[in-house]
Amino acid sequence: MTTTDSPQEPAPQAISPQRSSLDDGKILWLIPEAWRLNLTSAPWVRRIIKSPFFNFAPTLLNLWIFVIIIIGAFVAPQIGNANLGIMFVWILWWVLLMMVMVPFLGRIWCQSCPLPSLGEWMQRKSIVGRTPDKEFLGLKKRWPKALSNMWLVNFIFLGLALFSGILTTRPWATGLLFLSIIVVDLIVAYVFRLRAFCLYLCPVGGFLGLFSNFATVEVRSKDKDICARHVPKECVVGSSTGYGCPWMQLPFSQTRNTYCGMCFECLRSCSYDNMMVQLRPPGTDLLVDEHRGLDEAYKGLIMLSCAILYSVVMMGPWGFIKDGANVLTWKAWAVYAGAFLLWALLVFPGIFWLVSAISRVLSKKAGEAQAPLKRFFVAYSYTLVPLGMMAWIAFSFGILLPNGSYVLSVISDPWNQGWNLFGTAGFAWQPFLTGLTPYLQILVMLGALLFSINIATKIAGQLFPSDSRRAVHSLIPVILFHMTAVAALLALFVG
Amino acid sequence: MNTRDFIVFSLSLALLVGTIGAMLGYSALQKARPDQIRIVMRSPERGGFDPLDIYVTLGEPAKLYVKNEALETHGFAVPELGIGSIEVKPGRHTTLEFTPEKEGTFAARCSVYCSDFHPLMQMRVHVLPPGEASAGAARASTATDLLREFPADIVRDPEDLPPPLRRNTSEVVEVHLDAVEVVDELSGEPYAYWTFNGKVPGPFLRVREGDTVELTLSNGISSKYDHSIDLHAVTGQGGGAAFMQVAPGESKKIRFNATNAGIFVYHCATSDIPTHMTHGMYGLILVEPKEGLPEVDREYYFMQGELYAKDAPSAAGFREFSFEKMLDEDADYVVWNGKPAAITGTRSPVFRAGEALRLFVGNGGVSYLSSFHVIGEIFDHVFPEGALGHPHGDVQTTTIPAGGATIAEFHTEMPAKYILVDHALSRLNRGAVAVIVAEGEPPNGSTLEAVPLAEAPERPPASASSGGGLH
Repeated sequence: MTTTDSPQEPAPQAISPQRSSLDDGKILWLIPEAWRLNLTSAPWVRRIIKSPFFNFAPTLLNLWIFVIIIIGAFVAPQIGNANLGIMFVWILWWVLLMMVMVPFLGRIWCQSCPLPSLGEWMQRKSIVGRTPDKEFLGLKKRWPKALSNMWLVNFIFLGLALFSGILTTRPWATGLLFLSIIVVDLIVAYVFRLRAFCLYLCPVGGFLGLFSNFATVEVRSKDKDICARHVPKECVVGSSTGYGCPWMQLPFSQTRNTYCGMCFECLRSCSYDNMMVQLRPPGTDLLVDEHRGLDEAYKGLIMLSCAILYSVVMMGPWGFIKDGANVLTWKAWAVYAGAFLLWALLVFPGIFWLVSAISRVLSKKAGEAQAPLKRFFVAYSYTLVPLGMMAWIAFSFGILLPNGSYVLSVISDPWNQGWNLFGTAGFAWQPFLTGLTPYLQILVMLGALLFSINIATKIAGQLFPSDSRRAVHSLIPVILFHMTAVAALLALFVG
Repeated sequence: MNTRDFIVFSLSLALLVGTIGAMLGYSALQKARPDQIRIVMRSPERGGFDPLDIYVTLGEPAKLYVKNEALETHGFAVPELGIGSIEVKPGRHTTLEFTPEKEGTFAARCSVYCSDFHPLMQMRVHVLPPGEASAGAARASTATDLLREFPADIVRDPEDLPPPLRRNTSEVVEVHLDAVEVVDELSGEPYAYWTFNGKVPGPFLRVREGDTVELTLSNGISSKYDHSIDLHAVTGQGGGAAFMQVAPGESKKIRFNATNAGIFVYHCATSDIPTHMTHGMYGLILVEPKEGLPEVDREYYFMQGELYAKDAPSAAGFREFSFEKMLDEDADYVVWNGKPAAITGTRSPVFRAGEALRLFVGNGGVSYLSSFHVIGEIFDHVFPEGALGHPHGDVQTTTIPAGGATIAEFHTEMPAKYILVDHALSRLNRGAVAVIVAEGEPPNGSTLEAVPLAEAPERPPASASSGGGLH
C-alpha cells in the first residue's frame, strides 16, 4: 500500500508494458478497461461533494441511528429479531454494504461511518469542514511500520468472526462491539495520526478495502502533470479548503481503491480542482500490478474461506456446528473456533498455495527463470476478490429474503417496547421471494466464476506477458480451484 | 470551535439527546400506564412471569398487557377466569380485557411448552372484592415458591369414577382423553407428572361388553413429549398405540370394540414406555359384562405406581426423574393414586360401616408386583387379575401384577379406618398406603372388641408348663 507514513515502500513489481495476447483489454470481454466517466464534471455535483456537510449530514444520521442502536442494545429485551440493532446492522446494513455499497461505491460507508467520526472530530477540534486551526489534537504519533498492513485487521476480523453466532443474534453483543470500537478508536485517534484505526484495526475496513478494488467508482486525479508540478501536495497536507487525506494516502498518484475512504477531502483541498470521481468498469484495480502483498492475499483468502464456512454453519444441516458457533457450551465453541481458524488460516490458504505451486510447475519452461511461488500466490489471490465478494452477496440473499420483513416491524418499535411509531410494528414475519433465492445465488455465483476467470486470465497475462502458452498452463489449476469453490458454495446454497 | 461548529454541534447534540430522552421517557410512560396491568414473560429460567401476582377487582373490567421478552414463544391462559390460551411470539405483545366474575386466586400459566423449565411459567391472578386493597394480598417471591404453593394436584379422588352403566344395549361410547404434563409437589419439591386428564391415575373408563368405543387422545401444546395410549382391553397392534402416537398440539382417534369383559389397565405407550408410565400415565378401563356387576353400595378406584426421582433437585429446584433408578427398580416412592400416602386424612373416602364396597385396583408399575391387602378386612370376592369369570372368596391378600388389575369386594362389619397397603410392607414406608374410613356404630355381636385384661383367663405359672409341649 502507499501511505505517507511509509515512504520507503518497496518499488512496485514490474508492470509489463506489453499486453499479453490472452488479455483483450476488456473487462468480461465487453467493457474496455480504460473506459471512464467523470461523475464530477458537472459544477453542481462538485459543489455538493465539496460541501462540508456532504460528509457530515450522513454521518450525523448514522450516528443518530447508531446511538439508538447502542442504547437499545442494553435497554431493550434481548430478542434479536425484535431489536433494531440486530436487524439494521446484520441484515439491512450488511446487505446494503455487500450488495450495493462495496460493489458500486467502494468504501463509501467509511465516509459516513459514525464510529470513528468522534475520534476524527476530536483530532480536528471541529465537526464540520476545515477549521483555520491546522494543529490537530492528540499525540500525533506515526503508526508502527511493522503493523502498517492488513495483518492486524485480518486477525481482528477472524477474532470477531469466531463470535458471529453471538454478535449477530444478541443485541448486547452488538452494542458492546460498537461501544468498544468507539472507545478504541478514540484512544487510537488521540495517540496516532489521522485514521489509523480505520486503516489498521477496523475489522470491517480490511475487506471493504480489498473488495473496493472491484467497485465501479474511483477517486483519481484528472491531470497527472498538474499534480507533478503542484507543490505542496494539498491533497496530502491539506489546504484552507480541505484536510489532507485522512487515510494517509497519496491521492494524486492513487491507482487502487483499497485504502481510499471515499471522503472526497482531496476534491476539497486541491486548489487546482484536479481531483475527480469517475465511473469505471468493475474490477479494474485488481489488474493493477502494484503494491500487491501477502496481507491482502490472505484477506482475500480469509473472506472466501469465511463465506464457505458461514454457509456451512448457517445453511448446512449440521447442528453440532451451529451449537459451537452459538456458544452452546464453551467446549463446543473452542472446538468450533479451533476448526474455524485452522480452516481460514491454514487449510484454505494451504490449498491455494498448492494450487499456486502447481500453476508455477505447469508453466515452467526449461532454461527460463520462473517467478517465485509467492508471486504466483499473491497475484492469483486477487482473482478471489470477485469470487469472495459475490459469494458474500449470494450468502446475503439467504439472510435478506427470509428475514428482511423483520426490519419493517423494528422500525416502528426499535427497542421492542410495544410501540408502533410508523404503523408497521404488527407486520408479521414473512419470507419474501425466498423461492427465488437459489436462482439468484446460482446467477451470482456463475457471474462470479466468469468474472474471476476473466481476471485470472489477465493476471496470467501479467505473469507471462510474452508467452501465452505458459500463461494458459499456469491458469489451469487456478480456474479449477475457482470452479471447485463455486461448486462447493452452490452445493451449500442450493444443494 | 468556530460559530458554525458550535451551532452544528449544539443542534446535533440536541437531536441525539432529545431523541434518546424522548424514547426513554415514552418507554417509562408506557410502562407506568395506570389503565392496564403489565405482565412480562421471560424465559422460565430467567424468572418467568413478572410480576408473579396481579390484583384485579371483582366485577370491574381489567386490561392486561402481556409482553413476551423471551426468545421462545409463550402462552398465557387463566382457564378459571375464562381466558383461554393466547400465544405470544418473541418480542410481541397482546392486550386482553376481561371482567372477573368470581373472587379468589387463580393460576395463570404459560400454555405453550417453552422449555424444560416450562412448569415454572405460572403466576397468580387475585380477584379481590370491591374496595379491598391489594396490599394485604399474597405475594410470591419466586416462581419456584409459587409452584410449591400452587401445585397442580394430580391426585385422583378414589370416588371419582362413573356409576354402573345399568343398560341392556350396546352403544357407541365417545371418550376423550387429554395428555397433560403438569407439576405437582412431591415431598415438598416440584416434580413433573405426565397424566391423562391431569390426574393420576387417568380417568376411570367404563363401557359395556359389546360397546363400540371411539377414543380421542389430544396432546396439548404445553406438552414437551409425544404421548399415546395402549389399552389392555383392546386387541390389535399395540392395543391401539400403533395409531395413537400423538405429538404436542395434535389429536388422534381410534375406534375399538369392547369384546372382553373385565377390568383392564391402559397406559401411555410412547418410547420410553416405562418412563412415560412411571410419570403417571396409566389408568383403568372397566368393560362391564352384559349382565352388569352385582350391586354394591360404593365403588372406589385405586392404582399403585412407582416414582423414581434423583436425590438432588435440579437447577430450577425440581425433583427430576431418575432413569437409572428405574432401571435398577429402586423406587423412591410407591404410591396410591399418584403421591405418597395421598388418600389419607381429609382425602380418605368415608362410608357407613356395613356397606358393601367394590374396589377397582390397578398396578401401573412399572417394576413391582403388588400384594394388595386391606388391613382389618377380608375380601368377600376377588376377581384375580381382573378376570370376571371365577372370583375367589375370603381372600386376605391378592397379587396384582404390574400392568394388571383386580376387583376386590367386601363389606365391613366394624367402623374403622381401613388401611390399604401393598403387603410387601417396606413399601408402606415409601408411601404405599391409603385409608378408607367406615363410620357408624358397631353392630350387635361385634366381630372384634377390646377385652379388659381383668377378664382374661389367668395364665398358668411358667413352672406349670414344664414338661409341656406338643405331643
